[in-house]
Amino acid sequence: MNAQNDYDFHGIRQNLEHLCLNGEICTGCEKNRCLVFFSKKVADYAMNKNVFTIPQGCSMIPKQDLKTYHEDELIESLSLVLQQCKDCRDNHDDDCSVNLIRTSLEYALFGDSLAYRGSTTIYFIDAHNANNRIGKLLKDKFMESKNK
Amino acid sequence: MGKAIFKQRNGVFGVGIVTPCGLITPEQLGGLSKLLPEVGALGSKLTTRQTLIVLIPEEALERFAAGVTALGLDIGSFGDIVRNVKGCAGNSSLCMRSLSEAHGLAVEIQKKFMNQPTPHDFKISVAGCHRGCTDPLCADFGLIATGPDTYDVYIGGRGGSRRPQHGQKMYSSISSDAVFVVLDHLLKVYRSLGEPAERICSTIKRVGIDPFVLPEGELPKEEPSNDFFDFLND
Repeated sequence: MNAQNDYDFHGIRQNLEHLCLNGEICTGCEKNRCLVFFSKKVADYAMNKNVFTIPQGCSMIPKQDLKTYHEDELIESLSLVLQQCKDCRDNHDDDCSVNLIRTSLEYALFGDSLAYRGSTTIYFIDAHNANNRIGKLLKDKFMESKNK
Repeated sequence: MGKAIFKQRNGVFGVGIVTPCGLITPEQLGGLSKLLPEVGALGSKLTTRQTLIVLIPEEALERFAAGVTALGLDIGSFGDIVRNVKGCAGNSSLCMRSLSEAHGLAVEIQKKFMNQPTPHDFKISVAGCHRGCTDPLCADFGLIATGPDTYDVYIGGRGGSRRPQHGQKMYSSISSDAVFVVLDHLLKVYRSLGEPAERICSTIKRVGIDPFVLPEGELPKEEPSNDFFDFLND
């Protein structure tokens, strides 16, 4: 039985491996200038240190990473990350480990981040407004994974 | 200042036991479970300020106080003083949301400042993250951790009142060392400017917040460290 506050960072970490372009576009690992590398580091740090929040983590997201990732894999990863969201609403923290990974994947997928309002339900509305097609794919994948 | 011993409607006495910000060891809990029936306690009640009130017949008060002391606990005090500190379970072993050693800091503050005289009762709350489980915005002096050893400081909150109000932010992300300097200064100014029985929020309203703020340069400054930054670049 998992504790109520458990996050599946292990599952997220495994999934993030699929996103790595492995030199397909980049020449050699760009490390902290890569959104996927950053996301993996966040997951590793959260697991190793047993923390939910990384102070100032948001300011370290490599927003300048403009590489094109595989869309379907990004959508799958993002839907998996969204499933870890605890719907904190007013207590949402941008430096939450889950939020840091979500934001990084958003930059990779949308080219920008969406203001997260502490709820997956509201998020899908915002994602749909940002991009109809991707918003729908994301919600469908989220529901599909949730009902598995 | 008096001891936290209050006569109840039914004639028994409620005795307030102070803990290190709510932490009671198994040995102390076991000791209390023996002591309470021995002194004929009618019951006990956990308080919102992390103390334990035990209902004791008058004739057993002395015996109970001795037993409490033997367990390494204290009978609390009451009146116009710095009260016991409310601290959340935030530290590197307990709450996973905590950003700092908030509980340890709360205990240290309690050790240093509790029972110091003030114009009116003075309540302190420490929280390890912005969720603020200990209601730091409702305390006279509230701390909210923002990083491994950094805290936002709020003063002038008033929770239980006909006119409740939140504290106002006085400092952002100062170190725990700086917290002690800030609190020491704040209490000195409050004792100097506060009128008898005047809550600090009313003193601030009357004289302004400026006298309570340490002049630039007197606040200890430390280079902030960021563990994740090092991890990211490792």
